[in-house]
Formats: sequence, structure tokens, C-alpha cells
Amino acid sequence: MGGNFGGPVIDFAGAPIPVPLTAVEVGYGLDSNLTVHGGLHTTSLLFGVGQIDFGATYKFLEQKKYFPNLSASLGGNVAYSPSEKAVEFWPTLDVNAYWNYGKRDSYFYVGVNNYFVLQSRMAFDQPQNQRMIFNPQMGHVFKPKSGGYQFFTELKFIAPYLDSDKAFVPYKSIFGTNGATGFYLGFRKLLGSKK
Amino acid sequence: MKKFIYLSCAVLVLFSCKKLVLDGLAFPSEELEVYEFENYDFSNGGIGLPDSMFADPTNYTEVTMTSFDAVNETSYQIHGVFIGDMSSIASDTVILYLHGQSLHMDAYFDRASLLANLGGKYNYSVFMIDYRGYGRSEGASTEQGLYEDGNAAIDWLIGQGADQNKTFCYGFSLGAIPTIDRAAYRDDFKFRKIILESPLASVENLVHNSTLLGMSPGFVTTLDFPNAEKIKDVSSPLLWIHGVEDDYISIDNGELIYGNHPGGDNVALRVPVANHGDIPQIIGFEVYLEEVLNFIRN
Repeated sequence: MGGNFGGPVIDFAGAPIPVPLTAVEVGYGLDSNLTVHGGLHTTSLLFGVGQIDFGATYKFLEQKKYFPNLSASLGGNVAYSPSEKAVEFWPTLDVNAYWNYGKRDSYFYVGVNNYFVLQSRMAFDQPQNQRMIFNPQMGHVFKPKSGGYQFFTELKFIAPYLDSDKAFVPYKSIFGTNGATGFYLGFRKLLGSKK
Repeated sequence: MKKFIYLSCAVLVLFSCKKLVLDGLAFPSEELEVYEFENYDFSNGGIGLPDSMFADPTNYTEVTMTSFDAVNETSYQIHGVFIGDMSSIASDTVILYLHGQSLHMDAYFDRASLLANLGGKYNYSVFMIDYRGYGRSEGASTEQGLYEDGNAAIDWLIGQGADQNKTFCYGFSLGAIPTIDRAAYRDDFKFRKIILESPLASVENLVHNSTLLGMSPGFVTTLDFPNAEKIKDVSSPLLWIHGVEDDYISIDNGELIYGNHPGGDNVALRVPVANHGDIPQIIGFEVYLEEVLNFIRN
């Protein structure tokens, strides 16, 4: 079980801050290579929107020296607003390479997160030209000596190929006027782990 | 199991709480005890209007009017400023100026003063109001409140004897919302023409373009501002002005509105290099006034 905090960085009164999105998450290892997981987006609840994400992550290549572990995660993100009577669903696909190090298998990772947009039209029947939102990401998961905790930080480069200069939301990006940079912090507590 | 029950209870409590919305972001207003008008500090966000073009105190009047809140059946006193000779409203050309989202009408007094230079200083009258919650106006800002405050301004003009055939409405940014709505649905007083500077198409359009996810705007706000839809019901001729480099309300918003206006005698002024609030400076005050004047007279 765990929780995370963070989102795209925006300019707020002159200061760059991540949008304060929060979620609680649960995961269950079916075996050493397959984990199913889900998350409840608590910030969305404050807006009267029930939002969850879910998925399964499979490690399909084991680390060999400098050659990393490779994993893929297929899932989705669902949001429902009772007041709007609206449901939104975005399938997601993550592919990550990660390198374990140390006695407790802390790890660095790099990869891509992809959001798929099912709607083909936007407001005023404009075509939805971005059916896949491609977000490179990198992060680190630290496993301290005791307590069965994991602490993670992640940097996400959200749609770095798209011009965000004219977006209504004042996104901040390390790529200047392209995309947005996301920053996330989180922790997990391993329950029932043999380690 | 116990943890699951606790978590479920917490979720239910959060879900049943009063829904959080981002509506307030649309109305970054500031209350005032007194207006400063030409003495306001325009160094942060003004258009750099020279002193000679500002309206002076002998030629403007602060006025009040009543805006009726139909939802709560409450009345609010809202404030306005009339630049020109109030005794000759019935025979004058009047520009109703509906300002943008920031602060209060002091912050837009330079823009209203600039319009008072159309065809010569004080050639036309300019009437600007503060929406409820802005400046000295009572109440709190809402989408419906914008339309009702627009109504209050029109009622005040009617009360002063203004001629609808000589009344033009100019909406800047947020001000485009009541401008379009009242031009579309107020039948007893039709503006001769309307001018929209840097308008937004709708909240849905802003949300879709900002998130790329096709997310329903109702997830985060109760506001609609469906300008690009309502403009289909506007019969008054339109002048649309928009900065090509507008990074707040992108020019695509204005294109949607302009494209949906049913009239044939519209004018579009796409200003290269200009951003959201700097069109008069970028285009130059003389050219700006000439473009607006041509539209009003032709």
C-alpha cells in the first residue's frame, strides 16, 4: 500500500509548483514477475469525481549486469462524475527499464508512459489530433534498511513534442514551451513481505 | 478488513463533501473602497497610455445601478463609470465596455479612456461597469451574474435614454462572455454592433486544449461560457480582434467564435506578435483606434 503526490508543474503566482494531485495505491505480487495494482485518486474525490487507475505490470527481462530489467504495464484510468453523469476512460501503457542496485534492490528507472485518448473529437467537433500522449519518465525507488518501506521520486516529461506555450494552463517545462514537466513523490509500505 | 472499512468510509466522506470547483480562478477580482481611475498605478499590466489620452475627472462620472440575482432573488448595487456627457446620452454614440477578469475596473480605465479617443477625445461616450464582486460592486461573481450585470448596465443605459442604434458593446476577454450573451438574448435592446477582443470559445475548449485528454470540464468547474455556440444567435455585426501569439486564450478560440457568427459583414483583426493583453500597444494606439472607428462607422 502507498500514496503519491504530484503532477505537472505549473506557474503559480510566479512560482513553479506541481499540481497537487494525490492518490492512494495498492498492489499485489502474483509472482516475482507479475504485479497487479490500483490507485484511488483522492484529489479527484474533492472535486466530486471518483477516479481510479488499475493495471498489471509484468517483468519480461531480467537484469544482466548493465543490461536492465524490462517491464511493461498495461492498464487504464477511469473517472466518473455523478453530478455530470459522465464517465471517462483512458487506457495506459508503460514500458520501463530499471536497474537494481544495493542489498535491498533499490532501483533507477527510465521509460515511457502512454495515455490513449479514445474520443476522436474535441469541443466544437474539432478533431482530436493527439490520440496518444507520449510521456518519457525517469525515477528512483529507494528501499531503506528497515520497515518494509519504499520511497520514490519521478520526473515525467509530459508530451514534450507538443507546443504548450498557448495552453490556458501555465505549464512549466524543462523543454521551454514544449509539453510540461511532472514531478511526483510517493511511498509504499510492503505488507506481508518475507523480506 | 478493518482497514478496508476505514478507507471506504473516508472515500464516502470525501465523495459526499461539498464539491470543490475551480470556478473562482475565472474571477480574480479585488474589492475596493474607492476607485482611483486615472490615478491607478498602471505600471503592472497597463497598456502604457499617455496621460494626454486618459479621461480626466471633469469628463467622467461614477454611477451605480442595481443588478438582480434571479437565482437567489437578491439585488446588488454594482458600480460603473461613464466617460462623456451624461446629459446627452440620448443623442450620443455610446460604447458599453465590459472588461476582463482581473481585479476591478480601475485596472481597465486606461483601455476605456483609449476608446474615449475614438474620432477625437470624448467624441464617443464610454460606459464601463464592475461586475459583482469586483471593485466596489456588491455580491460575488458567477457566470449567471455576468449576464445579469450586463443586463443592469443595459437597463441603466435605457434609463438614461440611450439609443440602441447608437450603442456598441465591446467585450475584452472575460467581457466577451456577457457581450455575446446579451447580444444574443436581450431582445429589447439590440447593440448596433459588437466588438470582441481576445474572447474564449468555451470552458470545454480550454479544458480540452489544456489537458489533451478530452476530459469533461464538469469534472473541475461548473462554468460553461459557451461563447462559440451562443455567437450563432447574435445578429449584430462583429469586429473580432485577437493576438496571434496569445498564450492565455489562444487565437483558435476567437477563430471558432468568428467562424460561427452568422453575419456576413464581420471584420477580423488578427494581430501578429500580440499576446493577450497588449494588442493596443503592439498595433499602436492610432491604428487601433482607426480600426475600431472604421468598424463603427462603416
